[in-house]
Amino acid sequence: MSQAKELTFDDLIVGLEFPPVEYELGQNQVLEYVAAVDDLHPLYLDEEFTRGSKYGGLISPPTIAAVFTTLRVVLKEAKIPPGAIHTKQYFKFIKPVRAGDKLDIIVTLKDKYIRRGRKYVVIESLVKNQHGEEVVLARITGIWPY
Amino acid sequence: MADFLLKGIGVGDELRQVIKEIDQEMINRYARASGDDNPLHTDPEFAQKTKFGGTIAQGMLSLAFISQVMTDCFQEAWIDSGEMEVAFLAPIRPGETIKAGGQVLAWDEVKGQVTCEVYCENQNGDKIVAGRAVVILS
Repeated sequence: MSQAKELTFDDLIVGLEFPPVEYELGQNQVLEYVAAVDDLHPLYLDEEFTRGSKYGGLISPPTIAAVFTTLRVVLKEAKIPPGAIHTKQYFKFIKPVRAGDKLDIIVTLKDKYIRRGRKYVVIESLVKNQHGEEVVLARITGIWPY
Repeated sequence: MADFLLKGIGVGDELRQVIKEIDQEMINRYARASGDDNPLHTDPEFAQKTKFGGTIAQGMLSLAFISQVMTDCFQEAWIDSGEMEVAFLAPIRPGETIKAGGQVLAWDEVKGQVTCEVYCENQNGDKIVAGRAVVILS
């Protein structure tokens, strides 16, 4: 990792596909996330409640996607220049994610542009579960320092 | 007729707010849960030397609050079809009170689609996060 080349704005080519990422969502991780965001909805915590729901079991809060679509995870083999600023975030929730899910993340450089002298980068993550089902689409927009 | 209209929520109506008291312990818990080890969030000595002058909360934490507003209102429809796009406008600091909320902007009966304005603001009414959320009602 310390040998990774720093990804400058000029290095980033629209359409570039980064190495795919595998991510397993742990049981404790979901519970920690629920506690951390202080959202105690029964769909996330009450097994009896969810058994009677369309989901048939516990699910995770949708924004747990933030944990596995962050640049630190999806660009793990790249060195992001210090000073990059996260300016916008897009999520599309398609299917709920559950503890134990093994996720495959396809990461693409979706867009880059300069506006008012600032260099913007849009990185998209398409997440599928172990059944090959799309679960989340995420896009991070950031200002790249150089 | 869509369920949400039966709940008495219509275009122009405000969604029920979620209110969170942000302290350093909450920020630390989110750092552990999310694996975000950026010292800007958890190391006061480090953060004091940055332009923020102190620790700040993770931007994604505020997205969880907005998602909670949408789940509370639209339940499974948000979980199965929600879309949100927001801009981060200002940092959240420990000691602040954050209100996450929204307002129904439009209802497309053909698509079954509800569009909401969503936001987080602090105790001074400063907008921290702002954007749109869309949900499809079956």
